[in-house]
Amino acid sequence: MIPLYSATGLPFGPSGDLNTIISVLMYLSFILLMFFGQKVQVRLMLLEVDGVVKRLEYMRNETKLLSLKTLKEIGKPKEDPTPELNMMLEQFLITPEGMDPAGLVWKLDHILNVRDMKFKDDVKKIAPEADESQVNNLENLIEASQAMNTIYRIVRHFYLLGKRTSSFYIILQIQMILPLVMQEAEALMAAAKAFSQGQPIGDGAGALVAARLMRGQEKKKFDRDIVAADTMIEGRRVIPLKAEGPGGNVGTPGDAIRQIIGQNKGKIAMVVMVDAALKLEGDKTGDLSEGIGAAIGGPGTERFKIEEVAVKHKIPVYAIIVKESILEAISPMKKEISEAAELVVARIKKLILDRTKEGDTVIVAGIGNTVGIGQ
Amino acid sequence: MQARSPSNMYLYLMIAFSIAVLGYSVWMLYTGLLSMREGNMESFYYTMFISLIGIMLALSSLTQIRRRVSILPRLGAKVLTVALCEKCSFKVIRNFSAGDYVFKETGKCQQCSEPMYISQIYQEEPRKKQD
Repeated sequence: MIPLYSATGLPFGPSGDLNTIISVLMYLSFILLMFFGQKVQVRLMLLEVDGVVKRLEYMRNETKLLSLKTLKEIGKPKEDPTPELNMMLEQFLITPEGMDPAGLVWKLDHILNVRDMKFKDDVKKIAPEADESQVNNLENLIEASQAMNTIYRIVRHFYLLGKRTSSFYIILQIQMILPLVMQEAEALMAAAKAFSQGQPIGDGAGALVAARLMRGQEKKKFDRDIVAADTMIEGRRVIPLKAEGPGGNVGTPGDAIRQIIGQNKGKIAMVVMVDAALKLEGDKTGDLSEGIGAAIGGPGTERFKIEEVAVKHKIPVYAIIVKESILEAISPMKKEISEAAELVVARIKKLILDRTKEGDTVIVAGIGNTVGIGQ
Repeated sequence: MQARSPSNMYLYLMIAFSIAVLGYSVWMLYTGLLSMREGNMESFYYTMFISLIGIMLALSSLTQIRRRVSILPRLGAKVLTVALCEKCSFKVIRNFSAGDYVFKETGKCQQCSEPMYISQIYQEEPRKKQD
């Protein structure tokens, strides 16, 4: 019989019998792992995914609660906005059919415009007391909640599907990308907090640069939600433009650049685009990089418009990017990013001096979400 | 953002359990060393094996919990507003308050009574550990 307490005084201490039992158990576990190893691995992976699903559910509920609280505080709705908010969180967009690619960009642009207008109208309905800038912030806040809801539902879908089918490969797929999914979810949670309070986010680096250039100048509005100004740098006429702040807004800079080029009959010496861009691991936040091409993210419609008009008039397009991570891009702006704006202005001046001559006209487009940034 | 109790409760239970396992493993390690001094090598190897596994499991669990908890302060990081006087460059750094935005005019300068504006709004870096 195995003694309950061994000579050492420790529970389940060693004895000759125990050594035999341990050996048998080791052989047994080896044989069991040979036949059921994958099942054990599936169970362990499911356990890990289960923990993540619970955390995502908590995060989803928190962002939804924050949206509701902010809607009630700012929008002062007469009725409970929960049913409308739930509907908005489940809203979807069907991208155009791509079998015949001709005109695809304009179809997508039209769908995105309709979606934006409907979303804004829905927000206005449930937040009647909110002003224009607050409506924009609420729109961004609900979009963050919507993205969080989608992430939660997709992860839960694969978790439940994997659990039901006990398929190693279905569970493996979701388990492998969990760190990236969690990183994005954390970023969205930080973004929701920033939008609820109207704080500038890392993505606004480009807008901050344009705002610096247009400060103190007379502003002109362009379609849709874009403001531009006229200023002089080193004898060159510079037209900085950005989305209208301080509400959360990205505007349609592509349309504005087309309009400005049209108004100047194509006589633009160059377009400089400033945007935040995702850094690689190991890169320093707030570092700058210079390149060629239209620096603008999103579904690609705005980039297409800029590229098209630039080719038509043979205008060179230069890009300056501020490096940051996905978390930094949608959470409150870091000091390094805020300070990078000054350095970008210096780079723009150098670029203008090097690549243009006195009397030329240059467009400087500050791309990104302008939440918390005026002009 | 408000912290919810069920999630925290689970966290505290995990911490308590991990610390208990760590404590018991360290005690076993100590007992094993005493056995070695007494010349009981069989008991020494057994307790060393079990206690090291226990210490590794407890430390791994505590590290994972630490990673999870470290997200929370990052989400609740302080955001600061910098107000600047364009004339005398007098700077005021204060906590962000609702309605603040970059380039908003914000009162008069305490030194020269000229209007001040918000020049920066940024997230304060959490204090780094001293080596």
